[in-house]
Amino acid sequence: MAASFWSSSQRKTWLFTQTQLDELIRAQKENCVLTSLERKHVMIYYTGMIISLAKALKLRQQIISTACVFFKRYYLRHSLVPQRNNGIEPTLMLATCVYLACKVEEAPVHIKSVSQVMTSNQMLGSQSSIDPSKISECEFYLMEGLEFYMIVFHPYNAVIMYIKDLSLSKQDRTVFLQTAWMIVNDTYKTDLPMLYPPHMIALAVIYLTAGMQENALKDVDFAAWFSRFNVGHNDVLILVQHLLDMYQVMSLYVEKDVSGLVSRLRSAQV
Amino acid sequence: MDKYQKENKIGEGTYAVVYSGIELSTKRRIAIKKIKLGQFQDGLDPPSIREIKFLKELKHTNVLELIDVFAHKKSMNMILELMDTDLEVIIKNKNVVFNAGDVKSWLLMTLRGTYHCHRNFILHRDLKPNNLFIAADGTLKLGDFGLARDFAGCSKPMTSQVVTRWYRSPELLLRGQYYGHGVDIWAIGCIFAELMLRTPYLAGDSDLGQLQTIFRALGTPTEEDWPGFSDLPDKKNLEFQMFPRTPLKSLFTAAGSDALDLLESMLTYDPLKRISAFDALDHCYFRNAPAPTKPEKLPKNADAPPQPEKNLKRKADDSEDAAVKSKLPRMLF
Ligand SMILES: Nc1ncnc2c1ncn2[C@@H]1O[C@H](COP(=O)(O)OP(=O)(O)OP(=O)(O)O)[C@@H](O)[C@H]1O
Repeated sequence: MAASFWSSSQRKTWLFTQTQLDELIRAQKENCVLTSLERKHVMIYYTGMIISLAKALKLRQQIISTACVFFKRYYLRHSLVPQRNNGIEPTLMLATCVYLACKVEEAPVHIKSVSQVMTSNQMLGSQSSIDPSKISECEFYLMEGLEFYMIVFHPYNAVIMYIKDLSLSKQDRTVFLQTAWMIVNDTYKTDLPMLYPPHMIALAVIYLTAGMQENALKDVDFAAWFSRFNVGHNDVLILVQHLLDMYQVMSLYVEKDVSGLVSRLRSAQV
Repeated sequence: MDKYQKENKIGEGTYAVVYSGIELSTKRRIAIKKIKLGQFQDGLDPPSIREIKFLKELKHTNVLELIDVFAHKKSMNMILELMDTDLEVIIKNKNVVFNAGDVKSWLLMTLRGTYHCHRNFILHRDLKPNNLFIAADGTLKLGDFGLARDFAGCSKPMTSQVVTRWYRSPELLLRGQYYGHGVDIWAIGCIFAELMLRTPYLAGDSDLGQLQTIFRALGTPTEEDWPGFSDLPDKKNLEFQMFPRTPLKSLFTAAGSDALDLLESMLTYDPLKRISAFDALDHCYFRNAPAPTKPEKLPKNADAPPQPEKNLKRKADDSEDAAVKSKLPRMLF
């Protein structure tokens, strides 16, 4: 988290309504090749690659999340099907997202380590290696795609703050926080960070977590609790529905099939 | 690039060449900062990333405006408001005479810009006269965000190698890793003093010398002045000569008591007791006479501006420090 969300570019430039988002995505080339569900699965596939790259580089969660948001923002206005003329493969782009996110979050890594991990972990499938110079060149296109807005806000701090406000025993709180944290991480596989402000995501995640751990908080009047933060119960419920949809989409994910989709995209060059 | 017309080269830094130019649609005068790429195999250098990242978020009269950024022919271009000069040039130009209202006006604008940064959880970390640009209409604007940092988390240790030495606060000099907006306020205190003295106030010649200079001027702090002082990383291994506290009045003879009170609260040792930008803006100094001079009435640099010499340029991070450090016995640090 950085700067102030309310005056931020994230709020002004990078939050969309579902309709706006759908329109942007529908304008992309991959639409002729992928159904909406398939596109979601392809996004989960690439997010998974971001996570394994980041884990190999031992990055903090927030950097991973920033990289995921960069990737999603870029592909709102660019096709997942690489253009023949500039030839940016999503794999190159996701490596670049991780590399830039490290710089932006003030934890720079060496460009060579990024290319090495990408190459050695067989993340590239049948492709050859990723050259460091390709990453530095791609960084240009990525920043342009981000319209040079690089500060990303995350729900993590809000989750911690809100949980402190709930009356939970120390033990319950630890479990609660872990579960909530994992749900927040999962949102980065989806478009949710471009649809809702971080504090809303935090509240919905807490609500969902509370539902999963019924006993601990069964007496809390959540409607009243949300109103203390000036958030309507109904708005949280809609967002919780999104979270449940997200898990529905994930449950239909079959790695082998999605790999097939990804190769289909590659060969669909235009 | 066809939206802008490039004119003359007006400056060059480590990472960029700066040209003057015109925005064709508005005829507005602009600066084109062309970031040198090519030699950077690692993509854009971190200072340029920070500058773009923060200036994209900050919009305020007293913060240099980033009008546009774009990539063009393998280079990154930042389009900025064109500035006339900077406060260092004005301070050094002995043909320019300042009055108390002028000093107040520059300080006021510096604080407003800084408050805007702090309100957005951004630390500038390199405030000095050279980074306070002056527009043609006299408005002062904070520039050069190459060392800036966000501090919402505050729990992560940060490097203490920031801020040009003469403006570096004692907690940084003792290599504290947990610091906040106080580092900017200390720097503004030094700038305030420099505006009154017309010469740098705390001009140390090395990191260690800088602390000596500060202690000589403001008295060596005690654990009482600054709880936690003795626990800072570099304090533990250092012995300091005890200098007595001398009243500011003896050096700043022309300054009013309100000005000195504000200066003292900015140059307070304990970062927690140091005044905030918000409270400084509310200080009676700004309400008392004389009123701050209107920006357009401020003295200009029109008469024969002597450009600051390159080798006199004060840098945030110079290798000289490292050299001094390596020569000194480890005990000292
Ligand atoms: N917006 C502007 N308007 C007018 N002049 C400018 C502007 N921005 C920069 N300059 C001039 O261009 C010079 C180079 O600026 P730049 O920010 O690249 O380097 P620097 O900060 O002075 O040095 P370094 O990057 O080495 O720390 C500055 O000294 C300044 O005089």
